[in-house]
Amino acid sequence: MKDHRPTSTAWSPTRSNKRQARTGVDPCGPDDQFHWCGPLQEGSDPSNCSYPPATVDNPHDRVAIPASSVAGIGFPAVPSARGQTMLALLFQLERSQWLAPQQILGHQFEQLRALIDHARAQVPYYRDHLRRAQIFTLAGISPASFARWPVLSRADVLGADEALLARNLPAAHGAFAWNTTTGSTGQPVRVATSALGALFQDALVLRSHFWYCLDLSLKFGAIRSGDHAPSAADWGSATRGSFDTGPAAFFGLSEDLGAQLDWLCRETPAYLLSRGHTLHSLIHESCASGRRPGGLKALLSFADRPPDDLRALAREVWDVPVFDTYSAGEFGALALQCPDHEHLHVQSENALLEILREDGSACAPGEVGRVVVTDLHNFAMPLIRYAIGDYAEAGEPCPCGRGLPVIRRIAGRSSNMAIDVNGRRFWPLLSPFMWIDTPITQRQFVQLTRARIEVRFVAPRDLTSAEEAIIRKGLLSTFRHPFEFSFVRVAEIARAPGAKFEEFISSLEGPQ
Amino acid sequence: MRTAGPDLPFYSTVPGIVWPAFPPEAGQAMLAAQFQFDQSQWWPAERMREQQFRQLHLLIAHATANVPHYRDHLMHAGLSAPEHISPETFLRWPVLDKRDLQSDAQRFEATSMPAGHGDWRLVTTSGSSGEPLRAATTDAAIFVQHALVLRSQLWYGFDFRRKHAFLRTFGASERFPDWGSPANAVFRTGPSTQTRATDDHRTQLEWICREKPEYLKAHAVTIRAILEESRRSGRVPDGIRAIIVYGEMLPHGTRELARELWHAALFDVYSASEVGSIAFQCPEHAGLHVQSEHVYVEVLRDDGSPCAPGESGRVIVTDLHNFAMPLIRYDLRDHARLADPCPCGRGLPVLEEILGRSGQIAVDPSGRRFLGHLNLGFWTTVAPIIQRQVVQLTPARLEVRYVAQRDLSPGEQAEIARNIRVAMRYDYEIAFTRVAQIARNAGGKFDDFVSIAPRVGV
Repeated sequence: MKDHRPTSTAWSPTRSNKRQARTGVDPCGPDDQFHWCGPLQEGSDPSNCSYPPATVDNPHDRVAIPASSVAGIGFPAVPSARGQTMLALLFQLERSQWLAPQQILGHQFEQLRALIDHARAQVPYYRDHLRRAQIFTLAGISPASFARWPVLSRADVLGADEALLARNLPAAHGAFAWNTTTGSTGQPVRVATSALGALFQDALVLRSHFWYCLDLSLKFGAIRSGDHAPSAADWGSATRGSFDTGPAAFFGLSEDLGAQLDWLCRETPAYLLSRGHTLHSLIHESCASGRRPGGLKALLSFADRPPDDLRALAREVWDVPVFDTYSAGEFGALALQCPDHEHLHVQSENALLEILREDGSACAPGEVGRVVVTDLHNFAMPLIRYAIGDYAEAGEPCPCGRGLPVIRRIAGRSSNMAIDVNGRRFWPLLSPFMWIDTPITQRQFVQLTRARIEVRFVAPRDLTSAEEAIIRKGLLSTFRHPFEFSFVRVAEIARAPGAKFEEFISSLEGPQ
Repeated sequence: MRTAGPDLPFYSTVPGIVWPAFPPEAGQAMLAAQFQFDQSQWWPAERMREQQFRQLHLLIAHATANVPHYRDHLMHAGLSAPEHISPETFLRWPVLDKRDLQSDAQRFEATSMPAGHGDWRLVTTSGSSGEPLRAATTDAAIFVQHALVLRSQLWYGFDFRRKHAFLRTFGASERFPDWGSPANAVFRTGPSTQTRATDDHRTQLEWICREKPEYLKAHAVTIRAILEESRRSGRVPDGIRAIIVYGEMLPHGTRELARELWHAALFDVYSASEVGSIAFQCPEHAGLHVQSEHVYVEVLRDDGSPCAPGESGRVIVTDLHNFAMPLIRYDLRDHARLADPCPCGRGLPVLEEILGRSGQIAVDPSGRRFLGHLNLGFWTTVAPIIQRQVVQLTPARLEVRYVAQRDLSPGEQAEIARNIRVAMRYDYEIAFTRVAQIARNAGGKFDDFVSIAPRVGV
């Protein structure tokens, strides 16, 4: 029997149009002659393909037309090599989201075995780790045995230094790339990934665009940390090579709130990406100043848990929806808001995300536990069962039909956990409604002792005693404990550049 | 709520990456096309037409600049630029007859090609109407056709891990470790096997029973004949899940026969050798969805105006991607009935029925047109006829030409004539002529029905 799979040698667009005899185009197959993959080179010149790019009138038609790189062929498009890779991934993601949870888990463990195989051979930390653990054989890794795999802490990652880096990376995974994440502890962690790992992260960003029916031809805006140019011709690496997009504009996360709103009103992006609390503050600033950005279609919040009233506020003040992404610097997007509901879907195609009880067993729906993540495609610095410090509430399967696990909410980090004099520990669910009739634009709770919590707030004036009384009543109901609340008006609520905003922080020492 | 489709066995070539998979470049290109098809099939009809005309403008800009035959066509159509072509103005573009193509194929070949379309492929084919044709195409155009083949397999929910059998016009009997292109660029498929479409049907049935494939693909008439042989002999192959038929009009009752005898689903694909796939049966309904991402199909009345749903007319097709030998408004000489939009929700136009080649279309004096389908059981039960052909001479007159050991008796002739009149629903005047042999058509095939009645031109 002959094998007629395609080889890696493929046709190039730049070669001449050679004539080849063929007995007929048989739509039946099998055909061992023909494997065409369009252009393989980035930057091939589609100059003859000068027809204006397709536009999208109604994003709910889901009509984004990929960019074509072959002259004369506009539809269906023949994207560039990178574009084809992205669309090939997106095709799979479109299907895999509907698989049953057990099928998804089965695929994750196939991928996990490949990752562990690599980690055992190439990553010193795991080589030693596995030798010590003495419980894993490659074939034997199952959800049950994986539950015994020791959890990797942030301190382990910091301590391991280069021992977590792969000595060799398969060539097809591309070069090493580095991410630095600050988290809320302020202690930065550097995480390596590969070009391939970054590609999977981009594919999830592209998925989110499709989930939320974003019109790619419009302008994208982002208020975020890091060095960046003030503008770009396109939306970035997730869409580049696969879709022609509108332009993008960027502004600094640490800039003054008024300046951020000025920028937003000037740039008028259709979509605005930022941390939830920044979006929240911007809407308040918009209310206070009476300036409202034009043309905004949706807000995209990422990283930290958005304030509970963000959606209602965005709808009421700017008449736009909010789509939330739970992400971490070490991994990229971990969970995306369901297109049809407010809870989050774990991005299981790229990460195995567990929500664990204190005893290490898996949380049932409705329970809050710590988030432990395995990046399935990062072969450069495999992070296997990494506790990223967040706590989340597991959800029931989603009525939308997607088999991707549900996170009902991100509860917060351990440092966001309150404790009362009786030792009850909990994440305060801070109702947004108690602030509606107050002048407060931003607030933060700092637990100073087991009995005392300070409420720091930004407002144009001090609170009246009547306002304080109303808020106290609301807080009593929220915290379900008679804490002693003190109110402190501040000029601003400071945070480290790039750090997440935290509505509740505990300054109590030691494990809580 | 959407339900899960099959869990597809994607094929990955990157070490360490299993799920989601990284197929080879050819597979990624194929999936990039499938991703687009998955979106575009649900577009409203207007959106699809907009994209088709976007592509058509590119094709016509190329054809008028580089293909001698089309050099003056814009002017003939009264248009000054390709961008002025719309569904309405395109009706003024001259229809291309097969004979024009046969008489001077070189005038249809591009003298210059844009980069990126791959190799130029020369195709020799018997043609969809049996008239030999020499055509040229490109890798890019063939790629789209292959992508559509994969779409059909995905539409019909094929389990790629199973065994697939093909009855092919070309090639000898052979076994393969996988399904070949396009599926093997994307999936870890099960094995496949093929045999000759020209073998006798008993041999083919034996082969199917022996090979035990779960999917089968073959010409419609071949499948019909094998099913007939299965019914006659009582030999039923095990485990066939689905059959895809293509090439000819699907003989009436074939789908039901496949279901009753083999418990197999049968899916009809309408294709022509010059352009490849034209329409696929809807995965959920009986109508055929035009493959609008590849072809722009018009169904026209005799006066050249577009048919409304429910009307039948001539099929005029434009291959949107063949830049080597553009076929623009090409008359396939087929007749089809246009249908209302499909309840499945796909925006792809629907052909309710392919009526057949123009030469196979019967008429009656009222002007009713229909497929001259007479491949029915009565021929062999009434008289010892070896071979036969019904020829329509005028709208009211038929001639039955037959091969037999002896002349038919008046009683036998009367019984056959009665059956024909019932089947064709008109009281035709029918003459009988015994002949030494029935002539084959130009493609070497026997036609059951031929019309030489004067045809109303467009």
